[in-house]
Amino acid sequence: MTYSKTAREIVEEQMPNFKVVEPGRGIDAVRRADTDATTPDLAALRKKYLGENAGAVSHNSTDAADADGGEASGIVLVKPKAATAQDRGVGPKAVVVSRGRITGKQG
Amino acid sequence: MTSTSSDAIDAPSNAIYILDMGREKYGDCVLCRFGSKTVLIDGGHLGDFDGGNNFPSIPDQLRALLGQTSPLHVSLLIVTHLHSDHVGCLPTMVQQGLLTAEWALVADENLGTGHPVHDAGSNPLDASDIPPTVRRMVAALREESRADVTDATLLSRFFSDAETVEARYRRMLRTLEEQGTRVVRYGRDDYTELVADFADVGMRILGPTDDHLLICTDAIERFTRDAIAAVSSRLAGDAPIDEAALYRSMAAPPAMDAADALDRPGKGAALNDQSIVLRFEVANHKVLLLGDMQLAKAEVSGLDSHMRELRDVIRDDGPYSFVKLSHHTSYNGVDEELLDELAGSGRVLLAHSGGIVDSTHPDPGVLSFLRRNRQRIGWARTDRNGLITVNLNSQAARFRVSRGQLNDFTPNSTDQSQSEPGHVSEEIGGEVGGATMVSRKSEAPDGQGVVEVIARIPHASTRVTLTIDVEPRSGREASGETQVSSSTRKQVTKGEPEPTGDRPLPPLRVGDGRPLPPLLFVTSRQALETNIGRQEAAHLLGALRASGQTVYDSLPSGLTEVSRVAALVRGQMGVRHEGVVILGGYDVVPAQRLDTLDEALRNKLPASHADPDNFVVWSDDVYGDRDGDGLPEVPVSRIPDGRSPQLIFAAVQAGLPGDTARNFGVRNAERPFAEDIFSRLPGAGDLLVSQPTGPGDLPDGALGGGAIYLMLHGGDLDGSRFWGEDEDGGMFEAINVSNVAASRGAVAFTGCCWGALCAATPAAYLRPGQRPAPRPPESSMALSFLRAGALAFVGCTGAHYSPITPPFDYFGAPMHRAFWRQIEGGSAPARALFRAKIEYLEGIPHGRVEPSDHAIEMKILRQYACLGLGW
Repeated sequence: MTYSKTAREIVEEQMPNFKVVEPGRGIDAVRRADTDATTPDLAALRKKYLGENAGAVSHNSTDAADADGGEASGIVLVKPKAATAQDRGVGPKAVVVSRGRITGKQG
Repeated sequence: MTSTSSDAIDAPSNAIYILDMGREKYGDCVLCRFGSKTVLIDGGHLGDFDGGNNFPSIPDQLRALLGQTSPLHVSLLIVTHLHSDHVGCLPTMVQQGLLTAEWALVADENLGTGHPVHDAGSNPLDASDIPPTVRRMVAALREESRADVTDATLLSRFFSDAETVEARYRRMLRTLEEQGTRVVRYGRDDYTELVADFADVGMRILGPTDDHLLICTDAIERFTRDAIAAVSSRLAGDAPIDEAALYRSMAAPPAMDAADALDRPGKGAALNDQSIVLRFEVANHKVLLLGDMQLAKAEVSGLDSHMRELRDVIRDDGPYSFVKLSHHTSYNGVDEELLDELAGSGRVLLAHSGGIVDSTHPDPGVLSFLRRNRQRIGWARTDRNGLITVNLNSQAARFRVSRGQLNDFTPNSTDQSQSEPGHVSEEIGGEVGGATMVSRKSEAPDGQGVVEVIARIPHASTRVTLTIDVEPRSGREASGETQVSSSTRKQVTKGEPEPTGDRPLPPLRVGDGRPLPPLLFVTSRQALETNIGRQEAAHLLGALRASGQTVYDSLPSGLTEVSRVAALVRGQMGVRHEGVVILGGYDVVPAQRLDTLDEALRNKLPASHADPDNFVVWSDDVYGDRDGDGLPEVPVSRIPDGRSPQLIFAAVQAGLPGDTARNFGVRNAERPFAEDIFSRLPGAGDLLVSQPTGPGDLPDGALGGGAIYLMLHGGDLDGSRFWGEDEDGGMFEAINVSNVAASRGAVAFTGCCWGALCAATPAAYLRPGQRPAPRPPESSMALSFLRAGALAFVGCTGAHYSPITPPFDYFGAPMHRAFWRQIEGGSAPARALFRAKIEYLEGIPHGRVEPSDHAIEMKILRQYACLGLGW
């Protein structure tokens, strides 16, 4: 299945009281490069903690999903549009879009 | 004693002057001379127009510095914000024709008084039927707190200043405009031409943004409305009114609820946070002038992200040669991380502005970390040094002061009569065998007299024996006279920490005397001593050893390479150890900055992904690694010290909850999945919903023990509270540190973003070379729970994600369920989290299909941490 709208457009449509904002300082590859360690892939983790035969499920199973979900999946930052201080000041919150639907929220 | 000097005649061509603020609490007045241009920033207190009490008036100080007779003229007059200790005597000077300016950059009189910018008549204080006393009290409450001012004259003058400041200010702006001054109202007018006119002195306005200003304006308006109601209700009876008593009762903690909700604990936060932040650059020196901007703690709901953005702007604009610290060096103006942001890898001069009679400014905690960083800062303060001159002509900026010693990091006393000119604490100097010694009597924060001894010892092979005898002379101490001679012997050898005294410490019962499994306790004794005290650290480590536990306290202090630390810990871990407990914050034993994604998964993420942490979090898992693969084989918990021995003592003694302990929880109204999870907890209890639940709605003892489940919003900048949501998706404060009372044996599990962040900075935001500063317990829900005796606080070090589609079996929910299931099965919290993670791992991807979903679940898996003893 293909989707005609992007994750951003889906959020804008389904959350009319919010405005989409661009990612800020958290999305910074330079800072990521300074990490002390990187997590092994899911298969390796499952093998270590669940046994030799438990490593079958991995992110590779999402390859097909990439083609289906495309731009209709992702994490989008939003802020309330409302004019009160509380709303203006709530700060961006992440909204998770998966295959055209909002499925999760930060917090 | 340091020599003093005057700057009146031979003034450098590029200099900044921080004017003497006299006796009165708070106050800022800064004069900048940049070649032919002069910039005057703020005007101290209204009472500084006349001076007195042996202090020169502001007009007199300005005349001397500018070398002018009245009217004094400056190129640019700036009013950073509308507190009376910054507007000060400027209106009087302007109205009396003593001060003129070519330009004025000013706080907008409407935004700064809670009026929407184009509607000056809508502030609730403008209503004509408000009684004078109410009007006066509300105006005073909007200012910085003077609840501790005991001088009746000062307090009365403060009431009058606060009541009239808005009218005086509006009149001043009109007069300036009538005189031809080009007035730029910040937040309303375009300042492009102004900045262009001062481009030759490197002027840049760094903030705040329009959104930032408007949030504060709304907060001021709401505060004013609530304060009118609160004051009016207090005046409802027929009893005579003692304004001073009324003010103190409302301004001093515990504060009235309305004020508390907005600006806790500083009532004036919203005005402070409107301060215009400026940078100038002359002679290759950048100088930063911060007004009262509360960079460390905004204390205005919803402002944290804006404050972070402002700090980013400030950091990116630096480093600076000189900074006038914000908000009278308050805890909410300055934090230790800010030093890195201001100085970079270089050295920076820092100055404090404020009056003498102020026991809380500079903040003792700030002074403490300034002292720790004294190798890379220069420090001057108007309360001890009077007029401060920053000479920008030389290659390195330099201080000159009119009295006292530079780099004086001692807190002020509660004795309000101390330290006036001519009454500087007695200092006695001497030199023996090449070592110079200075001793001075001063007051400790608890009011007990102390003698501070400074010894300067030659950097050569030597042994110096200090022999100190203190003999206060009765009847003469009020004037500071103390005899210092010989009696007590203390030999100091190289590298030995300072003595901590012989205060008796209460015996520690590790785990409340319960049998615990064999654990490996890990710390850097040296770093821990720095944070909680030598005697306290010895007491703690001794108690752990006496309880039969293994203690490895030999980690080198200051080691930041986590792989090296982990290797050292691994070398101490035996097969018998069922868990590792880290003692101290990230500055004692570093946490790992962990990328929760493998490279392949990260490459699959859509370009538009926007995780606030970029999927990088703090983790301690590596310290449970036995086999060297970087992944834990045993559970890890951490007891952060928060630089508080009380916290670490309480946490290490945590027992189990009593039989009568009830469960308790609060969930965000928009997170219904928490209902099912809470309902399955063993035992009775209530899960409240926010909104409407707020901090004032929690029943007494609600957080007293048992299972505590919090599914609320958390913030990375403000860890002192968690929020629910209102019907429009806005934040609604649900619970804060004041709600955390005795929590003996409590096990708290939270789905709150950054809830278990025990450093001031999330992992994703740490810059190369930056050290993560610890959060104190009063700034952290997690640490507050531990200080109150909780057994564990389990939560996230980064942003958390919740499912919103029934049956809510993905993202955070399965981890929550798994943890509580393990607790119900009898696991200790540290082990319960360890096992819950394995259970969660088995379920990944919980039916989700997209790479961003997988990334979120990997983050949830890796970021959950157990704080506290956990066993």
